[in-house]
Amino acid sequence: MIMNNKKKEQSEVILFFAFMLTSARGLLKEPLLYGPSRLLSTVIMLYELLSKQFDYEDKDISDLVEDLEELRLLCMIDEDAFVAAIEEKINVIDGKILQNREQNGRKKVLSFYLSILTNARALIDEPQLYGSLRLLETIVQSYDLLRDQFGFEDPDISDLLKDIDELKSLCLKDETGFVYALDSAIIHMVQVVK
Amino acid sequence: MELEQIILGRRSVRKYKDQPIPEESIEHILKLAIHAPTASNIQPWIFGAVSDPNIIRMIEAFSPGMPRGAAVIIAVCSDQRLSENKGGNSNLCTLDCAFAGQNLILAAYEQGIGSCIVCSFNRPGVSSILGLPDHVYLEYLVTLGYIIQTPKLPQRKPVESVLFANKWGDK
Repeated sequence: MIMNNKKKEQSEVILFFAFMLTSARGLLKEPLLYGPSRLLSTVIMLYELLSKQFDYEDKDISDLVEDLEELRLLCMIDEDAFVAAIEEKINVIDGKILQNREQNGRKKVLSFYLSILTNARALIDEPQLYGSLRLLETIVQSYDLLRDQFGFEDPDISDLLKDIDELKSLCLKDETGFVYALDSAIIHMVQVVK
Repeated sequence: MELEQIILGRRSVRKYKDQPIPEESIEHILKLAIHAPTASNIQPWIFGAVSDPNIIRMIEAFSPGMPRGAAVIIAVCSDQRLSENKGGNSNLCTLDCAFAGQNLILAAYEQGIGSCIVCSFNRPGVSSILGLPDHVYLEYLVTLGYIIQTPKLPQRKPVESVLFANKWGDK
């Protein structure tokens, strides 16, 4: 039973990483506003993963995630309202981090959320390629969080992380090479999950 | 339901009940889908009906724009070899599959089933998950599920603004 749960946890986490990687690829051909939307999807999915697979509960983050679902749709229909709403959320999380004086796990999770929301906000004014770049950075940050705070480790994800730096540097200087490398990484992930 | 009611009532639904769709419903929907117009009656479409939750989870992971929690995903594919053999081409395949998709989502709505057409997916990745052979091209995906909440009617441009009469610019 323990093995089964462990296996399920592992596969759910791998699917989460596959989602981020695929989103980074998709953003190259998608409208600019899909960037913030994908980052918000990522943090929504991460909380789902933390609560279902790692029994992590946090009322503040749970409330935030509920609002983010609306925000995710808002960013595609009303950019100004989205910017105002996400900035408000960023301030709220920032306040929670400041209140939390100790360096503990909760602070790490809140800081992660703050960072991703800040990136989502910034993408509104950044070039299109930054969407893919931010997704790749989120992959690294997510793995750091899962490993350091929740004791999760996986050799396939570790292998993927080894390629992320190269992908990031290709992203801004060689789009063709970037697409090729990203496609190869995605196909590799498909083989892992199949 | 009247046709107008179906066309005006259908929405892209992104939240579904955790409730399976009976096989007969899917079969009925697909029976109506294949009566779409098709160039030279080639019928290049092939539909993959995915209801296995594990495969659905995998497809979701490689489809960033897909609503999660669908009971069934229909993979609308085209048989490129069949089309080429009969003198067709990939553009016509795409058009035929799009026509079939419109039938599909309207037929689903008539049965109280919500749908969302998804083009934001990783084609090589999802094709590999589905085990598609090289000559079968994955055109797009459709998520199906019983509706939790019907989205509001989106605004459409007035007909006058998208119409010209006889010649460009004439109203």
